[in-house]
Amino acid sequence: MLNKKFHSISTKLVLLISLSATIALTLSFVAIFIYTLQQNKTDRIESLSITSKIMGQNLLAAIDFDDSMGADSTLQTLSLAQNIEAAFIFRDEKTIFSSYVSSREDSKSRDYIQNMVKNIYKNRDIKKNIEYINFDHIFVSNPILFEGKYIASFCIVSNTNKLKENFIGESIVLFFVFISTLLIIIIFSLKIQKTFTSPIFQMKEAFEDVSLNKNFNAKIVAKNNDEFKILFDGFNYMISTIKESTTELEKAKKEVDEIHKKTKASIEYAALIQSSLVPDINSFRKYFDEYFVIWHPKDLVGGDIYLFEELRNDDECILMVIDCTGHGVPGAFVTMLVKAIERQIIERIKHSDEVVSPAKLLSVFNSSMKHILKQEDSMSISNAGFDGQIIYYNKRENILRFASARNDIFYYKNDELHVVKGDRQSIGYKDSNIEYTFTEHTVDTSDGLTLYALTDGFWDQNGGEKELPYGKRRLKRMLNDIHNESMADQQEEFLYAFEMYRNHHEVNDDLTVIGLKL
Amino acid sequence: MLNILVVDDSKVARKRTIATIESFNIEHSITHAIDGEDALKAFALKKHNLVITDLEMPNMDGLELIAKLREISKELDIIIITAVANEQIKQLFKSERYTSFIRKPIDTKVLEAYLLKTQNHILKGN
Repeated sequence: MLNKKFHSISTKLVLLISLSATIALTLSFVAIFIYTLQQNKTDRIESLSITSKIMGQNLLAAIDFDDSMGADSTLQTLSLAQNIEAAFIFRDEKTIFSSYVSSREDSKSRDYIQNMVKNIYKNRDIKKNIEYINFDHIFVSNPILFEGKYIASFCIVSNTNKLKENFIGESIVLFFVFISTLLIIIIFSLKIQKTFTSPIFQMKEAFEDVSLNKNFNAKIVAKNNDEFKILFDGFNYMISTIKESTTELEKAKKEVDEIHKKTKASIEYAALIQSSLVPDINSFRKYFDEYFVIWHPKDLVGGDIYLFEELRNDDECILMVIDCTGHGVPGAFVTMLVKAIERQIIERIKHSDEVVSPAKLLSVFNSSMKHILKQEDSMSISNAGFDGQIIYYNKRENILRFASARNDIFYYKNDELHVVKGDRQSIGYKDSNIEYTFTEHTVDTSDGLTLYALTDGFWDQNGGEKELPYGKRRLKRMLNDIHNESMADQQEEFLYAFEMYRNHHEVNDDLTVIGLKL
Repeated sequence: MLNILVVDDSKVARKRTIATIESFNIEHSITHAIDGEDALKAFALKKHNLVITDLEMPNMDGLELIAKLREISKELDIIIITAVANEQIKQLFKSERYTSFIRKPIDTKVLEAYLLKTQNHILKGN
């Protein structure tokens, strides 16, 4: 956005008033000037016309008796008038009966005036009243009638010196009046702008005080009882309301910050406890040639957990990949419950000779969860549980046994991908069947095997151009591309594929991926 | 100039970390190692002022490597990169001023911020 240069409203107001006044004054003075000029001209012509008519009457006898000497003598009296340059009596358009030319005129001027008069008569009717004016001369002609009959025309030629003098004099007066009026208007406009802008500046300063100095005690006192007083009262009320709201908000923010601080500390500590449930990564080393683990709770704590236990000897181990209800704190609570049940199960196995059956273990989890969370009761409000895979491995016997609630297990044997679908039954939850028997799968590992156990946080992650879930089909394609790589590289590829697909989309859920090479 | 040692058992991860560092406008030289033992050998040969290490590695893992490096230098900048969000391990290094954590996959902006922090640390040290 363009930053416009700042112009104060006081400057704008003075400029606006002065400009309007100047335009109005100029138009008025031009009108007065034109009117005065026209009036002077009319007066002058009228004066000459009267002189002409009087002279015509006085010369009637001289013309009638053809006494041009007498007429000349009468015309000579015009020398008393300073502005009259010449006068003529014409019998017709061409014939001059008598004439007077001011002694102030030289012969060139006399010829000019005479020619000018003849030219005027040439184009006009000599028997009618004629008025003509140019820059230097005024010409007035009247017919002389005797007993109603035309006998001659009397014309009088005056210079325009008087008009010019009047013009200059009036121009100077008008100019000074114009300037004086303009100055008065500017002084008044300064006074007016101060009257109107002073309260606005008061408001401006008050607003700056509030916005820059955060002074919510700022108040504006009105000097007059006008619309500005209403504005000021409104401002004062608004600021006092903001002050009250800000105080309340600050108090509430302080309380929220305190609660947030306590909650954060509490969740951080919970995260510490939850991560203590996660096995030491080095414990995998004893059983697997290569492996990788990705464990990313969506928040500080999460509903995903993986558990790994050594069993009765150095050959037996068990891995559980658990995705509990939801994520965050509720999910983390369920993981604690799962861990507690798992500890009991492991202890029981360690003190028995029974064959470890992941399917049966899932059933034990199911009944235990339902029992602890009182989900056998149809009125129970607790509807928590988990989906997950339990994988038992006997290194000496080269046997891998696994069972799964909902989440699939992927493994490569002889370079061929096998996808073992999880049973369509979750662990716990109100509507799960407590009598359900999970399917157990056994695989011989003597020829080697690469296994992947994931939670749905991976394939359900939204992303891509259409923001659709990653999906199991895409996952299988990726596994086909990477399964022969080292497990460390495969971990990197899993993470990279997840981030690339997710792009800027929010992480949907907790994420756990475990890869094992046997 | 930053002398960086990148330690990761994943060839792909090392390559990506190095490419990320090279995309920054920070003067640097990079050495890489495949595990803790390899890293210690590289560290003995050249003075590094930043070690970026994975935690889970064969032979000598990240935790063991950091312990050995701390015996050499208390003020060496170390960035731990891990795919397991283990709060217990974070807690172990909470009081260590020059040890930082980044979750895998590396967030480019976070890594750049840590590199600049290390650069400032070196400048102040000099």
